[in-house]
Amino acid sequence: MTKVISIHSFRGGTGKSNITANIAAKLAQQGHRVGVFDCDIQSPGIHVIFGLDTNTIVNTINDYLWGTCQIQQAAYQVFTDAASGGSVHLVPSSIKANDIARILRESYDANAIHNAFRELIAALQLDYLLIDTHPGLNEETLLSIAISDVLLIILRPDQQDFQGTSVTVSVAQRLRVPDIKLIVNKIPPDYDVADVQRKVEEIYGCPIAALLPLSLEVAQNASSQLFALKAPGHPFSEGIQQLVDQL
Amino acid sequence: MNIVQNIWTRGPLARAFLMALLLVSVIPIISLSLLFVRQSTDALTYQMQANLQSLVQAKASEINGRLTEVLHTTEIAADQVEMVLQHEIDPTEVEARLSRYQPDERNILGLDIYYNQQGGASEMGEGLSNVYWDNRLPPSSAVGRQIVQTEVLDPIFASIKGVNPDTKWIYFTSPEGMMRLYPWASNDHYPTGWNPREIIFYSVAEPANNPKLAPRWTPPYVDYAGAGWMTTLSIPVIDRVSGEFQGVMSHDITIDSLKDIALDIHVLDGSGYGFLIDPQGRVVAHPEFASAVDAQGSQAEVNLLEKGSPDFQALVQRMVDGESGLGYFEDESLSEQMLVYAPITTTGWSLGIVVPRTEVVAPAKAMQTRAFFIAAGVALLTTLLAVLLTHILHQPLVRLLAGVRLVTEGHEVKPLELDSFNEVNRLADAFNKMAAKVGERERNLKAKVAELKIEIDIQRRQLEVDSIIETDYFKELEMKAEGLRNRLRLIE
Ligand SMILES: Nc1ncnc2c1ncn2[C@@H]1O[C@H](COP(=O)(O)OP(=O)(O)O)[C@@H](O)[C@H]1O
Ligand SMILES: [Mg+2]
Repeated sequence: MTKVISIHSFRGGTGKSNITANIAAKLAQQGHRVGVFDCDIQSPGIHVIFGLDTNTIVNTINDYLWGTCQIQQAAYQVFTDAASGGSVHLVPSSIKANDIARILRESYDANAIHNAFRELIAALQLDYLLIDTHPGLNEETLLSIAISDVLLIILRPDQQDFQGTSVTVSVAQRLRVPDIKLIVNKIPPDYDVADVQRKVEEIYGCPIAALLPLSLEVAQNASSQLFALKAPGHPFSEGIQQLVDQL
Repeated sequence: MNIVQNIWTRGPLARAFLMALLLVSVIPIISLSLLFVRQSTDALTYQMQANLQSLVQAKASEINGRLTEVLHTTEIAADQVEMVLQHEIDPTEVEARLSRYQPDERNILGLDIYYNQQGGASEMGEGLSNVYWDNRLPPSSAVGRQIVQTEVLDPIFASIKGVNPDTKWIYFTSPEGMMRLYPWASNDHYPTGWNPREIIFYSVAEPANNPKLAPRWTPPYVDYAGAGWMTTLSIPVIDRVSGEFQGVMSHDITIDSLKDIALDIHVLDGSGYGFLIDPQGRVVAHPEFASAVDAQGSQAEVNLLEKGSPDFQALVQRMVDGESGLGYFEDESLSEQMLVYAPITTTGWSLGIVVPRTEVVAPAKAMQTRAFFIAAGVALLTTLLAVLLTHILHQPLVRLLAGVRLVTEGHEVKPLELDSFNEVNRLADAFNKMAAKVGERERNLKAKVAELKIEIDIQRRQLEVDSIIETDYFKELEMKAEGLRNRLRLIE
């Protein structure tokens, strides 16, 4: 049975794409077939982490929504693990300024994206479907959340994120998402992690799946590689591993 | 390679730097060495060809020198004969001296019987000649006079043979068929009815066949008397005053030592060889055709104008035409060979030297491979150097950039570590100071807002949640949510 997981944050730059990509690769290493949708249509970026050359991208999710291709034609196998036989299939979003402008201008049927998920699951026999959502709560994002088995909400330990995340949690609860988990990312080194955990759980009443430190190495990596695979012993990578174990 | 890729993807500055380094080092090195290799390989090959051409010239002139010697001495002999035939001798003395010449049992007039009466020619010492005159021919007073007149030639012939190691026979033949031959040989050797005027050494030089009255060389042949390969030089003797033809002066030489000069040519590890051909293209000396002809009296029969590939034959034609030069051809095993050749002007022969092309270009090839490896090594080194330099320069910049990003986002960062104090690190140092200041300010600020941090504005949240859940879209979604989830699963 396919598990659908949406990854969401109130603001951009929180680490959504990096965490999604690393989770996907880790799941694949366990032998799973994993699909990833870049639904952050306005500011796409997850393909970079997988090292997918933009020149080789022919079809994107945009093309599917305009009806010019099948969803399988927009899926790229970006990672495989020879030992376990697992793989990651990414459906990227177009990075062309024209395409982004057009998708914002011409509204499309939000339900079409639901069809895209269904068709990809069926076509590739996926074990997991990960959705890298757009920050905020527009219609497609609400739909992604509504159909998810698991919702991972990423926040940074700051006031603006605390407020925004509370809205997301309320809305997700209304939609009766079976499993809502929080991830706190970019925790500065001088913070007391246990204190952060206690306060956050207290405010939202949701379990915390991982607490990830703000790290110079991750920042240096600058989304260029799958960090959790490159530096498995790093605290950030260990947090990712802990997260994957709960999925 | 990894590190190159790493630098390449790091940013345009690193890329530009790497490119610039490669451009000023690797590319000039490669193009310079290509240019150098090209010129010097050409020069080496040219040098090689020039050396071989000098070799063939030198050998050809060595052979030519020996033949010129033969020509000169024979010309001297011809002059002497002409003078001797001018010399009037009293008929009574002619009569007296002729008494020593007696016909043998085949009626050949000569000195055989006289020499036997004296105890044998060999007992009489060196320096004797013999006369051959077929007595059955109509008698002539001229013949008697010629026999007596030419008697004085013996010491001249002896001295010619003395200086010329290749000389086998020296002989004069008169238009009447009288022949005086040095050194002495018994007339028993000649077959019955043998007429010297019918033999090539005479016919080749007589005015009917030689209107220019030039010295003539016969094609090489194997000697009747078992002396090996020979050639004969024949010069017509002409009366200086009357211009009348008086006979032919002939000189037989063995050419084995001349052949050896050609056959002993071994160039470049012995894979090259030399050969000699006559003016008709027939083999005089050739390592492959050496034993092709050995029957006594037979002539050279292998003609190189009819052997080998068309390009080889074209080269042989040039040799026959008396040219000197160089050319390439393919042999039977289809390997390319170089032929250098030079004429031997005295006889019209030509000397050729054949060397496999691979040997000619071998030094150039060796030098090419050496140069290639050196250039590749240098290119690799400079590339490594370029990568290293770029890495050293770029690495701190990357860390600085990451730090700046974090500060921009409002985080506090640990000071960057500096391993040496260069320009970039001075910048990093300045950055560290700035980051420390910014961090301090942030901490002060955070301390003030610490209370707000954990508070959530419930009212505001409610307003925002309401603005979402009260839309038609949300209401519809809320109703279908469960169904949509299930639909996704039903596909399985
Ligand atoms: N724990 C972390 N420590 C330091 N930098 C991080 C961390 N997590 C993410 N980043 C950096 O933050 C930036 C934004 O991450 P990204 O995954 O693109 O966020 P989003 O997809 O939410 O916009 C990236 O440059 C990434 O390297
Ligand atoms: Mg993103």
